Amino acid sequence: MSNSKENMRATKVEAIAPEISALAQKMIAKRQETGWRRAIVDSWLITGRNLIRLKRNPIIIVAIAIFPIVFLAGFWIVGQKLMATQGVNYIQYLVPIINLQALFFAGLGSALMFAQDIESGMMDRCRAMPIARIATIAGLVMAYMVRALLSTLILLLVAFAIFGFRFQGSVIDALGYLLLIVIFTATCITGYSVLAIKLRRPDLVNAVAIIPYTPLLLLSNGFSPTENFPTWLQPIIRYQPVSVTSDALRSLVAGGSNSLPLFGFSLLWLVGLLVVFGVWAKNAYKQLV
Amino acid sequence: MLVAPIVEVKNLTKRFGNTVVLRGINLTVERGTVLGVLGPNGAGKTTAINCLTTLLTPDGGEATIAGYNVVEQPEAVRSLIGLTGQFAAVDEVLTARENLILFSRLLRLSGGAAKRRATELLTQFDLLEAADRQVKTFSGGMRRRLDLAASIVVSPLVLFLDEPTTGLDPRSRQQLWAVVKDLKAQGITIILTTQYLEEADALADQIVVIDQGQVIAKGTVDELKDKVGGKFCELRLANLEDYEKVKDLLSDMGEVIVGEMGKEGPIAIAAPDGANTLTEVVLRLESANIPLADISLRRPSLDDVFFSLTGHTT
Amino acid sequence: MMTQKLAQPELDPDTIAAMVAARREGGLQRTLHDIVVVAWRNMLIDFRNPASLVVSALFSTSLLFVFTASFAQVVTPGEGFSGYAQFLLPFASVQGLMFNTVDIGVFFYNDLENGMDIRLRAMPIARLSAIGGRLLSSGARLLIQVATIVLAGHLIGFRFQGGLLGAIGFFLLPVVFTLSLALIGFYIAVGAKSAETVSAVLNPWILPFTFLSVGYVPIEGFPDWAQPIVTRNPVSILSEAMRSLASGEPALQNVIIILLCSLALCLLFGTLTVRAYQRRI
Repeated sequence: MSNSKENMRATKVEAIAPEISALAQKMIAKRQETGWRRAIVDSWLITGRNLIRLKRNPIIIVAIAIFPIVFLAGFWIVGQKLMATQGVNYIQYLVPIINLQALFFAGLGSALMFAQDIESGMMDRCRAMPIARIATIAGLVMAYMVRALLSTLILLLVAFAIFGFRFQGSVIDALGYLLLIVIFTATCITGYSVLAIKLRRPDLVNAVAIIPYTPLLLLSNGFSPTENFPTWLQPIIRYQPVSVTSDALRSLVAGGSNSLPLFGFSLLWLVGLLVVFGVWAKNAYKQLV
Repeated sequence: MLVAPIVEVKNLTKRFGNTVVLRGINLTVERGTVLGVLGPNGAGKTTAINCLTTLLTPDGGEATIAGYNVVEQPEAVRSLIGLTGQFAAVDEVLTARENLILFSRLLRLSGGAAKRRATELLTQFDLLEAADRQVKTFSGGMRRRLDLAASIVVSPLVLFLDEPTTGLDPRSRQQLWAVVKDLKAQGITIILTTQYLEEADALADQIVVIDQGQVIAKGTVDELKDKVGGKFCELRLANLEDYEKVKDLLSDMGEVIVGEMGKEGPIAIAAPDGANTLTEVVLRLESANIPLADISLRRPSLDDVFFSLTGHTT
Repeated sequence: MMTQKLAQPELDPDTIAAMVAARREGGLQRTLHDIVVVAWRNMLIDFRNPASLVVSALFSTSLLFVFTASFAQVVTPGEGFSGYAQFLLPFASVQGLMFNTVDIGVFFYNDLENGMDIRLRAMPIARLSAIGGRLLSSGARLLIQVATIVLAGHLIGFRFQGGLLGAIGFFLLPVVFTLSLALIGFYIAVGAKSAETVSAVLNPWILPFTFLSVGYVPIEGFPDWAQPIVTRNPVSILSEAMRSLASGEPALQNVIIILLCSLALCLLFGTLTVRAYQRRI
């Protein structure tokens, strides 16, 4: 639908009393919902609202900081000695997957908030208002992006200060790391939004959302090198998106010379998934209500 | 010049899969009036509202708000309307003030104007004392008022209220009614769905009754009541055994109507002469020594209307 | 209406006394009966809406599979996967059950909040039927999970070698221990203001307990400083006890330690929960 001036004129304007018609046109012109500036402002407002909600959730500090750190410490204590016998410096190996896991859980949390918004009628209220169509979704993605990046920052600082994790790559490697993390988060949130739209009920989302965790995160080479898996599983482990992404992140951390192809492969996977999920989510969203 | 109504709905249809929810709804609403949409659960009230507020795309028919078509010009329509849905759609962990500021900003008020408007609304809706508390501490009535306030941050041309008082206590309901009357006085056109007949009675200028996706009656409250008939003389017997005797005694005055509750509930007889009929009934029963528990003269309630139109109660 | 015949018989003191006697709340048999009824209701709800039950059973099973796949070659290099499965399964079930304590605590909180508890309190039934019923139905839920993971473990080479008694012990021991842990969740739930609080308080404790145990890797795999903690961790002791029960080795000492731990938890948090529960409202 275009947002031309023509469209802002009522189809049956001649039949409506002139003063109402004038008032209506004024209201429409003032609140016109289309245009990219509107989209940015509206998305930003909804982001702010979501961030307040995140901030006031008593569980948030556990989710953002404690959970990833406990996982890092746990796997490190359990795996360090054993991995050393295989010649793996486990803390360098482990940090990328723990980071991805934190981002993945941010996606999971976003599905929960989304489902709550659908159930509470908030989504309907926003959809019946003259605000940019993209704002509700963008506000969700951006708020959880903030959460994910905050979580990453805390994790990396703790890994650096307590566990001796070192980023050995260049500034460009660091930017590559950041870029992959942002896209990975966006992909998770978009994928999970499909789940939220389809299921709608927060309790159901809460129960089901953990399911993709096992095949995607645990059945990856993030925690243990591919060679340690049964031979028939190895091709799947090696080429699934989380493995590819953690390969790329590890390579960027190490500052290796072969980072670029790994980075490209990971980017291809993530952007591809993002597009698929994005289209799927958009179609599902249209059928909401 | 003939002026078209501000809301015009022609032959609106909607189906979900094989279930036909709206079978051709027609309505018109004049500016500044309140339309009450009555109907039992599942009649299609909410679906109709969702179509008119651009949340759903109807399958057929046409609907316009101030001349703007809801299907072809949804952005325009959304600028003209306000919606208060069935569930109080406000954020629990935000304060009342934060909620209102958020919606004000989304409706293009500047930062300062949004704050001022929030305070204004909080005052108007009697929420100023609770303004900076998180909404999760609010009672149902306070939540509803906040919800309504959020829908009129910028005064809409047409306000949709979907069952605004469902689940509220009588006092909160009265408060909400006062607010709705106030909004009407400001010239806002209101479409209100409800299951409560007394609510439509108290607020609506015009009423449409929807059942199974169709409008089965429309008119003013008085017109609908006249449809069912004039006044009734309603009585309760002290001794149920007297029922047959009473029936005989009053047979020449008309048929004795037994209500939903059977003989144990109130029974009624048409009262074309009003108070005279009532006096006559009292005299006859007294001379026959039949004690009465209660007797009164009343106009038909919308319950009677609904019952006689659909064959079932709300 | 006033003239309607009374449906009830004339009320004399004897009739009333009979009514009270018929619905008497006390007594052990009565208490057990009421608890079973409430537990039955809870389980019906679980089965009608099985997402949470199915997901938590599948989750611990998937952890078993994944860790077997990814760590078998690290922990037991050169050996097959079934050896590690035999080692890991007891712990994988304990871990799965421990994650459930959060859910159970939240369920109990919901019982208290959604009006069910008020209704039960106002009925002439045993005072502790809400707590007891939730505990019992949770036990059933946990048993189902152990059964699921044992069945799944069978596929990758886990076998009972310790006879019937060992198998029964294998099933019951983690359930008893987890239920006594769940009482901590109950205690928190009675005082909590939201379901989130319950999970926020419980969640962080579970991970360290499971990581710092001989669950994934044997004791030699841990750094020296961690080893004393790991051996004394009840989760380690429970995993060891279950391993012994499954493979038919002597397990009595570890079993007794776990039962004593459970008893201590029950006495402490059982008392605290009941007292807090009685003071609620």
